[in-house]
Amino acid sequence: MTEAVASLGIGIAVGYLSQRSRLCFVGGFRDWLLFRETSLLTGVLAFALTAWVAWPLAALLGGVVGPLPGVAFASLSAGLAVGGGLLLGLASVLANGCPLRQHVLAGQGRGDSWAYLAGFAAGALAFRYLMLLVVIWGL
Amino acid sequence: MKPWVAAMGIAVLAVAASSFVITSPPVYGFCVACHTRDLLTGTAPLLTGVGLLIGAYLGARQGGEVRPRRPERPVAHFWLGFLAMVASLVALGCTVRLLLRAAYGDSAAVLAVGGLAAGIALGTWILQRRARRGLP
Repeated sequence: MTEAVASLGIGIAVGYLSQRSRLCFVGGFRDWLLFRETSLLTGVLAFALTAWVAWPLAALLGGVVGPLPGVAFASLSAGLAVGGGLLLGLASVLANGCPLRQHVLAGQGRGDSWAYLAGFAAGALAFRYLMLLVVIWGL
Repeated sequence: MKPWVAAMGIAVLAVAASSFVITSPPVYGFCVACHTRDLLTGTAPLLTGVGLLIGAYLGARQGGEVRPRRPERPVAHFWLGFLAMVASLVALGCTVRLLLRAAYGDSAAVLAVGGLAAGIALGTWILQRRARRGLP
């Protein structure tokens, strides 16, 4: 219940801030590559830098973050990380925005972003059931 | 609002949520992809995606930017969304969570952000090539 309320509230705040600022996590690098335009890129860099400072501060205030997963299957997970990141960047540029930006555009009424969100939901379900099949098959 | 101002606010919210509310799995306070997956598969009631739509609508209404537009290429965008979700789940996070994890010191996420940058460069190259050929 706490999780539901907190995630809804944070979602609303982040959606509002992103809409007012047009922040996009792939748009920054894309705009710099295309036009040498740095407005969105400073947003992405400010996010990373703030998070980097905020993690230890939150820990000082008593925040607890579970341990990172171990390094088993390190080479596999490294490959998956790079491959997943690459595919995500490619799909996001072609769709004209990162997943966060697509939610904002959908909230503004862009029909293509609603189609994107339908695919986003379908992808989540397909991935889950595909993984289940793989696990069952593996057993 | 300047993007960097909004980004700083979002980073503080995401880190606080990961440290004080959703503490396990690690660095899970904010993710556009994983939270939507958890909601749809009934794993956890994380309403981040719904909140984003509401917040964006409120912001757009305030700025007079609500403009309902019919989809122009719905099928292409459906598959791009599909691909983006699967890619995010493979990389263990959407663009936002990948950066959060990288800032936390997760080396796998640093690799994923590198892959992300390469994917953006590839996508931008495709856009430029399309534009040169006069394609949509």
